[in-house]
Amino acid sequence: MKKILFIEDEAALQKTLSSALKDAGFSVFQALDGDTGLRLIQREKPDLVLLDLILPKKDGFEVLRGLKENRETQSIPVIVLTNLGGLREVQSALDLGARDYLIKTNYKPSELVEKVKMILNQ
Amino acid sequence: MGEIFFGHGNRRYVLISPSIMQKYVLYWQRDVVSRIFMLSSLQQSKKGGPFVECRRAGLDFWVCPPFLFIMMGFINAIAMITSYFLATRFSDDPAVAISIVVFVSTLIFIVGYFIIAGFNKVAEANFLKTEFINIISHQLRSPLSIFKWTLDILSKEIKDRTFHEEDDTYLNIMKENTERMVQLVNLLLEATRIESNRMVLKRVVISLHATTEDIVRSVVWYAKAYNVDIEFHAMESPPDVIGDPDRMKMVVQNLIDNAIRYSRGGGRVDIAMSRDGNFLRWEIKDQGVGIPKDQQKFIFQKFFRSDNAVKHQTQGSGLGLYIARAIIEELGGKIGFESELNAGTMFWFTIPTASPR
Repeated sequence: MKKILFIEDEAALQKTLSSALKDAGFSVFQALDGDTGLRLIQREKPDLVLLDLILPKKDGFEVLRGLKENRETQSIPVIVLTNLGGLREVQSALDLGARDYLIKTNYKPSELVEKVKMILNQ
Repeated sequence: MGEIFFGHGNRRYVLISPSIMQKYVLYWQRDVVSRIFMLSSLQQSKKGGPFVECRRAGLDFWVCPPFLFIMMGFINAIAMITSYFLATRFSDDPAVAISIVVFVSTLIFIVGYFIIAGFNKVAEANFLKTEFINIISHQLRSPLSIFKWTLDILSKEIKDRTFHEEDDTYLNIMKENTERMVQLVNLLLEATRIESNRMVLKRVVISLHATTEDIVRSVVWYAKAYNVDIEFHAMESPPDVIGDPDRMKMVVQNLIDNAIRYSRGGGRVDIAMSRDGNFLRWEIKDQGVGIPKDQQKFIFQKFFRSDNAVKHQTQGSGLGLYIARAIIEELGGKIGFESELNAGTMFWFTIPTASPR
């Protein structure tokens, strides 16, 4: 079973997308802040990370940088899932090595599950 | 006015008018703004000088305060030299010449100062407006994504159980309206990006016909509410196009939305596509209210809505076509329309194909 880590501080979003992912047959780990997120990445080595940018303790960019700095985790694909859509944020996230950059309001959980499946099947 | 609640995370603020705006801004500065600015300043590379700042604020080079400042220096220097020569010509007393020079340069300095301060104020207001809309839009997106995601899960659960048919209708109404709000926020953000020259488009191969099919399928409910039949006449094996997937979806969605909303409670909307050299041409034709002749030239302007449009539909941002044109033209295509009052409108646009002939 593929492991997915969802780092998001909004509980309602955590619950909805996690349940959609579980229904699709993934095993889902949840983190409500960047610090926990990064620790879970190092410990669980998930197959894919869904990452919010505005997070308590460590923001999404720091988590992404931390993931890429560690040789053991740097190949894990990261989908940035945020509501910040400025050029600067998108560019920085992609420069740091995010696989995809998605705006939360533009996707439904079911569409996100499809995206996840697509990236894992590549 | 009653109470208004604003909340972020586990903080909730109760704001009571009349000075809502003031308090709101104050709370913002402590909380949201600091977070967002902190983030963006972390990521911001300090490239470019003050002129880049002007471009971001939507100011031309000629009215950019730093440029005006340099110009003022030049003008002042020239005025000093000229007035010195003129003064020495008409008076032998060096004290008179010097006081004339001092007087002239002080005058120019004072006038110049006010001019530059004026432009600075305009630039600042412009910048603040853009940031204001930016932050508001981002803050709106958080609760909106919760609505959207929760509704998606809820409607899936309803499918698995037996529910009243009515519930499904209500759920659809909520979904549609959430989607409309999402679109509005997206439009506002897009307009600020265009204004501040910060719009960057992806150029990838997309199947715009498939996107159009999806959109048509998703608005069937909405069209039904307006008593409009909608049909997409796709080409056989249509070529892909080059564009930005999200942005092109926005453009097509917007044109179709308009066609439905400005129909007069009936009729049909036909969407056709055809090949036009190295371009694909889309046509979205309605039998709606039409655009008055004298207002047609303003139709792509920001926030503009024709009399006819307002009369038929009180809701509308006046941003859709402004953004559509910016996107299509940036991608190398063209956009236009033909319209007859009370008979209908046909909007068309072209976009480069991925496989040129």
